[in-house]
Amino acid sequence: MASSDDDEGEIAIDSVTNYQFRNSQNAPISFSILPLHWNNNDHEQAIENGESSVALLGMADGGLQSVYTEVIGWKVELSYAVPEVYMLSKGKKWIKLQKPRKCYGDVIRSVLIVIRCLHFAKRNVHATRNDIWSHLQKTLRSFSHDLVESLENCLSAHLPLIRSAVAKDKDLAKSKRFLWKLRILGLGEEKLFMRNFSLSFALKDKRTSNKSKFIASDDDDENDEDFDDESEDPFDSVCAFCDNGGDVLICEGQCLRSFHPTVDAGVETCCESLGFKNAAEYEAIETYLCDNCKHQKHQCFVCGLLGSSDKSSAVEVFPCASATCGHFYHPKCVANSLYPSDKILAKQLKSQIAAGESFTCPIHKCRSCQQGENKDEYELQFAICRRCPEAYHRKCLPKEIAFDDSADGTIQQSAWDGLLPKRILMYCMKHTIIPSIATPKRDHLLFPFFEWKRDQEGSRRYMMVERRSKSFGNLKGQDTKKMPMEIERRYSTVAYGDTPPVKGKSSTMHKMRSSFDDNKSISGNLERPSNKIRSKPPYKDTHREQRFTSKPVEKTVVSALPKVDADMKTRILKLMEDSASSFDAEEFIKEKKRRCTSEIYTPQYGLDKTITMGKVEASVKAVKAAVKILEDGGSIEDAKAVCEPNILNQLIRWRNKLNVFLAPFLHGARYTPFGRHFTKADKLKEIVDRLHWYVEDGDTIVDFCCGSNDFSCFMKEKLDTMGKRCKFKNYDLFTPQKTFNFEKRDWFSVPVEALPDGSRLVMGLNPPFGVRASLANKFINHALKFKPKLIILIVPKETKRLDRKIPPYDLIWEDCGMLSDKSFYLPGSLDTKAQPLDDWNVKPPPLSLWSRPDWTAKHIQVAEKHSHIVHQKQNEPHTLDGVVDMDLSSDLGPVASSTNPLCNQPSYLGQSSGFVPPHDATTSVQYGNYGPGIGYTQSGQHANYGFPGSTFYHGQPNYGYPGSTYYYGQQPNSAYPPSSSIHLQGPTSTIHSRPDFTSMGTTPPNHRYNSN
Amino acid sequence: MGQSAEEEYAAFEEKVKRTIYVDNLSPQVTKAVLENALNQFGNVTDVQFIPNYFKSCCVYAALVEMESTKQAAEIIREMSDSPLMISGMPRPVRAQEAKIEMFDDRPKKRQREIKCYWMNPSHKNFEVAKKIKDLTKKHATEATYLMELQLANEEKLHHQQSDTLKSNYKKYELIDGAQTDGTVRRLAARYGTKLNE
Repeated sequence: MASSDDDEGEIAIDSVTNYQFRNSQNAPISFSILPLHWNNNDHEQAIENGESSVALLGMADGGLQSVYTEVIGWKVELSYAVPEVYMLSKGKKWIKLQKPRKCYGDVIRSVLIVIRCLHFAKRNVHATRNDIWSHLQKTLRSFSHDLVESLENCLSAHLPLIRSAVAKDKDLAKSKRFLWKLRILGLGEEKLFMRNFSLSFALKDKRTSNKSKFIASDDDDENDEDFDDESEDPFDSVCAFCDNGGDVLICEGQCLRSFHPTVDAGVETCCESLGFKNAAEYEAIETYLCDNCKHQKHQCFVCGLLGSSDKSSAVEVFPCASATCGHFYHPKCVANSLYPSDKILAKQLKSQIAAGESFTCPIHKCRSCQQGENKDEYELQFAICRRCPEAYHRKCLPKEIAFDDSADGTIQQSAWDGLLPKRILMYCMKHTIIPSIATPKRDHLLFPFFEWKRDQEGSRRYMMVERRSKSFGNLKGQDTKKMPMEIERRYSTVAYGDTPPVKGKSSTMHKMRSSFDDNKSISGNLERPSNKIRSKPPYKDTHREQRFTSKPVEKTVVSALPKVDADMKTRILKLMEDSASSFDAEEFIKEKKRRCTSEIYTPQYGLDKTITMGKVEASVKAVKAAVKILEDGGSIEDAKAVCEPNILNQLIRWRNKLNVFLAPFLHGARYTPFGRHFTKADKLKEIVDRLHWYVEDGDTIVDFCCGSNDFSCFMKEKLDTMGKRCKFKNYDLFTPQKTFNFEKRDWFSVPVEALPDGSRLVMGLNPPFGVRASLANKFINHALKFKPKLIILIVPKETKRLDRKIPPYDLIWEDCGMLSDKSFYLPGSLDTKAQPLDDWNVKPPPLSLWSRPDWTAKHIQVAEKHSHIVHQKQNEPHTLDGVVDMDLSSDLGPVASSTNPLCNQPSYLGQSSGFVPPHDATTSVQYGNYGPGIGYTQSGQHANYGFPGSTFYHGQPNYGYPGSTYYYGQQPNSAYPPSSSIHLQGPTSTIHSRPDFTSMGTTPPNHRYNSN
Repeated sequence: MGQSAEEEYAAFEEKVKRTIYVDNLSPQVTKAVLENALNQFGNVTDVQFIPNYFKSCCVYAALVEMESTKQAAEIIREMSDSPLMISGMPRPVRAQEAKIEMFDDRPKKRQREIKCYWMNPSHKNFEVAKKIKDLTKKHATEATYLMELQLANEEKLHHQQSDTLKSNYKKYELIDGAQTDGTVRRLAARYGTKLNE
């Protein structure tokens, strides 16, 4: 079928321009999915998978001839001045690709970028990474104008291509820097660099054209903070076999090591890896324990021999006390190494360690100057040998340990920057670097219970060559999983053939690891990663209905009484598998993830797997040990050697992450409401009582995130009694109980045309806040598109103020105290006494009313008429000026300037027990809500601001009632312990220092006016 | 009487349409909790827990009757859109339409009357009846087997989830312990580093 019926167009064509590729569904597709060939001959054995055909469409002969041919493979030629890509047609002819069709360019952009990258690296073996970037920037710019999506994505998306290129191409393999650059792909610093690069590029790009759609624009200000977070991780994530970064599996145990799980993951360094066959296999393991940790037999870092670290039996090797170290030592070895010249001290130390006293190993002191490490100071960062306990300061590093190969080839590079967090990765002079693998001989790891089949260097090299070709071979097939795995392992006992190849379907099943997903298929318990893993038939707890309805329909009649026979088993298993595979786990996860608001806490798979038990234990232990050292009068230096300062923050970060992950468990009841909190009905009534004065007949009231939809209902009630006829519109993502004028819709998807003109619009209320008010800002921004005459908001103080927007809105009033206390509740959740859970904010979000400038004068009038604004002429003349300015100005300039000076000194004046005019029916309710009446009776005026001398919470004086523990006592919240000292900050301190303030107790009840 | 039975059945069918079946419930979920959780989206009129046949897994199911069919459909949509956790770990609750078979107390459908009698092997329909009988048995075996498999999987999943939870909680406790007893803060104070709590 291959060549006979190929069309005649095939003959003359050797290059195609204006090309594109389509699959059998006629959808555009990248040629990179086809098998890659590295020379012209090996297509003979290429797997001919005619079914999933890819067609090449384009023009040949300068546009005279149109081409349509099926292609089955491709190759790339990097030797020429310009990289060339050839396609292998079904007729076994190579066709050179020239220019892609314009609209198709997007599809193959990333692979072209990678090819460019490889090409440059090959031709410039000594190029630094900066060279590569600048080259890319140049060539790619000429290539197309909107091309640079995140380079990082490009590179990581085509890692197999890069790896196979490196494995195949001698020049590339020599291009050390390129290699290392790729190695550190995935490590903090480099990532940061790349990210900066692509971002800055993207920004430039945006200016020239609006097409840079690849960079997420809407939330890019939120997900940045994660980065410095990660780069501060004091634990290294470098493979213990080959000392390279990348995709590693972290051991959960005490050794704190990482390993490349698959040969593929470590292919750049020819890592022997743990020998997993594919990602699915190790991803299915919840917690990976390396053989050493599993059997509690660890190597002594000095002598390299295994010893028992099992505390329940005779311990032979002891772990170093340092939090990030993870090395074990024989007491004798480490004592001798710490005191090489002093036998007596060494002996003493030896017995101390053997008795279980904690010690820090030699790598926490510089070999040459005996001083400790300081990661924050560049010169005092450590270079630690990966093979033996040797460490130097950057400044003390012997010259022989070089960061570069010397030109004459006499010195091999033996130190690398950027691989370890704030440390140098190095091999000390005792180890000879083998140039081909850029590490010393890799015979340093010893696992228990396995005969160590140690080859001489020659045979190892042979093995590597073989592995290399195998891993390359994987790429030739379309699917790595199909390759029979016969990679030679060190364990002579291991044979791979005993595991049947996993079917394609199952791999997706194995990938499900998200916390969203309650279905995880697990591989059997691992004793040895090498040969014990067997994938279970993928099984997902099938759709529930199956339990009730689905019974396999079978026409054949069995005469005997049915038994569960093999046939039935396979049939049912098949059924289950089918049903499981119809469920696309990745898609599901992606879909759910879209809805997550907090990017920071949505690690890729459930919980961050880097938080291992070993690390946590070691860190906590180290913290305690460090405290003990200090208490015993030890030096800070010693303590820092045990527990570097970073660990403390790392612990807090971990705790936060775990807290988020475990939140449903820790605060079960709070999880019913989808993380929402609603304003309590009585508060809403208060707001309605105040707001309704501003609403006019015929207005439309929009609640953009209506929650329970109570607000609109109350509003309607009130307005009906006032005789105002208004329309209502309520949006939310979740259908509320009261569906009064409700539309289930994401606020951001509401188009401007959907609502009446802005001068008829009153909108706002309590949007979700998001991280640092990011969501609130988004809601407001969308609301502003409608140009409503009034916006009422309950948003946190961090929210960008509307008078700083363009065009700015004017603040009519702001009430910071109204929503203090338990003004919110968690819908749908109950505490143990079956009462709805209250919610409160440590910093109560202010309620504020904003007006479109052309309506400001009118609204101010209303506000004054109903005493929503306080005039405090006698006390705060400046403020009043501001108010007057604002009142009168329809012109924006003066408003802005008059508000500015007030920003930092809000005039919280005259806020008294009565927010609401006395006639209001809800007053008593409201008082009740404010808890013990002392606050009012004692000094009646500033109940929300705390009394001088009362207890405050973390500088949040708004909570400072005398005896305010009353509020918290109900629900102890360890995050906000009562602080005994008074933190008066910002505006409040001003208030308290003003002597005449307290005399204002007689001020009539008024709404507070705050002009900032 | 026939009339009323028919009516009763129609009313029951209405009720089924108004009802949703929720499962993966945590054992801590009580009627009040469930009611309250679902009241966010509509009005719950009745909650009926279904006895748990999967003892080992500790997940429960319930039938929740809503005020209207529309509300029921709405809830199912909401809950499949976003994972709703009721009373915490380990799983989000799932919802689907209730089916008639789920009700223990379903009324008899009038039209269907089942009569049992012995059949003579020489009867012309004997073979047919036998076939049907065997098929039914076969289906039953298959269903049992399927259930077994599902149960085993369910159990495995449950163990896995609780193991993950346990180990993570242990980590949390470890860190939390060091933090709440002030060790971390003390050390930070000695180091002079600022904690970004």
